Amino acid sequence: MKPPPKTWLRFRIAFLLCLFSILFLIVLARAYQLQVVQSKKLAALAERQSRGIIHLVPRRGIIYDRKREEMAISLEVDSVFVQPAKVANILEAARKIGPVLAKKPPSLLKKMKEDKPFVWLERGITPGQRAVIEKLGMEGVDFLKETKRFYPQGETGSHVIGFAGLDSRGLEGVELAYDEFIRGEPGYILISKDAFGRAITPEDPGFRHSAEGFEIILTIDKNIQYIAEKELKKSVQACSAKGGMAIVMNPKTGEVLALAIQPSFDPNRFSLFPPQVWRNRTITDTFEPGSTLKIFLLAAALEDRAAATSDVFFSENGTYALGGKVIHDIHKYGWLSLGEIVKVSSNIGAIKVGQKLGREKFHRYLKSFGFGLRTGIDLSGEVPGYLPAPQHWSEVGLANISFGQGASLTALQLTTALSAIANGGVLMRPYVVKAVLGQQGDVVKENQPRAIRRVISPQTARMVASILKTVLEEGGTGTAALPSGYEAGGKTGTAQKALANGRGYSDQHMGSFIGFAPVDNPQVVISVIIDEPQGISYGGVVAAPAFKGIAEQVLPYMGIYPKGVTYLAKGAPLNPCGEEQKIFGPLAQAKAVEVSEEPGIMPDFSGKSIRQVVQTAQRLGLDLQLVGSGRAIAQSPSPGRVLQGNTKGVVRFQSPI
Amino acid sequence: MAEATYKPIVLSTPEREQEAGSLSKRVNRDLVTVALLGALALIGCSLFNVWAHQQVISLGYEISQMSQEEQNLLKENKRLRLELAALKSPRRIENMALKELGFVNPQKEQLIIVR
Repeated sequence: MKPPPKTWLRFRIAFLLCLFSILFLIVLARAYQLQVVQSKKLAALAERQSRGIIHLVPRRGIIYDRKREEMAISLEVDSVFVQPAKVANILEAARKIGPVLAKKPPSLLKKMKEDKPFVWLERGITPGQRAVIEKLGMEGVDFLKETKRFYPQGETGSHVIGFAGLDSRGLEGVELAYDEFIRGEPGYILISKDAFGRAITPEDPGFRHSAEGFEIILTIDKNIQYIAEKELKKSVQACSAKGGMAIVMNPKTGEVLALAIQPSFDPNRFSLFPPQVWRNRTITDTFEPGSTLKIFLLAAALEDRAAATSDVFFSENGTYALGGKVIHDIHKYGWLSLGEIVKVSSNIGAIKVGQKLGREKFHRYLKSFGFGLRTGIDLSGEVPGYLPAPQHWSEVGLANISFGQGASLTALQLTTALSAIANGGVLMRPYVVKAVLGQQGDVVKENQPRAIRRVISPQTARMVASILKTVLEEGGTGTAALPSGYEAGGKTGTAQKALANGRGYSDQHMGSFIGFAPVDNPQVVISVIIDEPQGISYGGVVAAPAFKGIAEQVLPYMGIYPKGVTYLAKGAPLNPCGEEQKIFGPLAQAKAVEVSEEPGIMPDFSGKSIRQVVQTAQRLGLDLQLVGSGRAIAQSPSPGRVLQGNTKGVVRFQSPI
Repeated sequence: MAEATYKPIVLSTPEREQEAGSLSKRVNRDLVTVALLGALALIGCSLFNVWAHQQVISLGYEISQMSQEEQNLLKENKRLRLELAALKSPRRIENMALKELGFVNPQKEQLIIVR
């Protein structure tokens, strides 16, 4: 074989060199294009593919009552939507999904036929419903995560709490007034994704925690709220009234413990109720109070020394002509003392007191009690009510206002003003939110009790309270309000409702009772207002029983017990060096030894329950100390022995379990 | 092919060839050893690197799975709290006590306050 010529070899080498150089240049150029020219765009593209962002929906903070019981919680729920264009058989889809959502197929069909690319079928479905629909495996039907607000207490407290809509915005009540705190901020997580789009790991800097909203602690107590609602409802139903309101307030702080309105609504299904039912009518609606305003006339007259409790006024035997009008009392009275005017609620007597006090002063006191001004409660929509200026009060005007007509106010104003009297004369600002808490339990905002002003002196407040106490006593108008075992003070009111056009009065009434208990150290102020009761409409008949009902349940709940309950000391250990003890067998099944029951002599308590022991002790006048709980296992002194003098008998109990 | 017909021109005597052959063999052997070792080290390093990377990724998966689980548990906890709150509603409890269990509210004479 002949070797190839050298020139051929050279040519081949040069050719390959050129070829590879060109190829290399192309690679270089491409690299330049990718790395420099298009770098930004491509980096963004890569980012989009390999990294993901998970949006965290802001969740509204929890609302608690004053004892940290949940009143409103947000949960993530599924919402099912449909893209009608993608659904193969709309009819079949509607037929299959309908029963799962408890909806009629035709109504779903109508939704799916809408000319929209995206239609919600149902928002906030249960995990079970989602599973069933997913199983159907229908094209074009999909789910989205949303947060939904739940109110575990249902109607209880609905007018204070209000509600939030599906877009996580507060619409009423505290949910609205404190929305900026409760709402929270939307958060996100940046993640790396693998080729299949699965999340690999959260990247540190790209993480912002699901910014849940702040938590709210109300002044409302769930149980007091429930009691108020229950009693109010009972009263409203008893007289077939149109509605009613009840407020329970701590007079010392201005905290609203309960705020009940009838008719009520369930915030979980607020859209099923008419909007006028959502309204917190204790702050948005005004009414003419009627005789309850006499309390403040009385306070003003006493404080101003225009009248003393011993002063008497002539009640004109029930008929009084004034400025071309004739004013009547329900019952005819002659001479009445200041206290009696309030006790029997004489309108003519009140007019006489009002005349003596004078319109300027009366107006000044009413203003000072907060009438005609917003109370400043931390809820939105409060109205100031209407208190005409004194220069516009005619002679009849002054007379009217003296017994509570011609001025309009809100139920909250009335409650707050009475609280001032129960609080020794100092008007407090009412509030419904105790504190706003951050995620770590730190206090973001706290509402402290705030005194607005001193309206009357403590002495006057005491005098007014003692007169209000007589209203509930024999011969007063509010006997039906007296809670058994307590001393309470209050005032009935029955007012004609003004016509909506402001000209004259309708034949419908507002029956009310506002009061406080216990009289010597008021712990609660309770106001009950019944709107348009049918039949007898006197406040002493329609509203007083609800006051009694609420007070009798709320006071023991607050640790204030009625007279006549038995108190027992508990917890002192058995004294080993004291009297001889009789120890029964373990959980004495032994029958009690027959010891005749005689006062002052210890019977055989073996195996008895605490209740039985206490009842026997009460009957025999024994002073006992109880230790433990369960059944009696030991006692000192032994059965049949005399319990002498000041010594206390001791009974020890043990639980059978 | 062009390479098949190409033969290098070697200019050497057989003796020199033998001498040079033994020397170059020794050098070659050392070189091969070093190259092999180097390659092994390289492979070892790469494998370790891949393994470590793999570990990071699998731990990452685990972390994201765990945090998902944490989220789910938190959600479940909240759901249960909601359920508990609903079950503790005074309306429900009073109804059960009065209607189902036949309880009555105590009279004040029956109240014994232990303190």
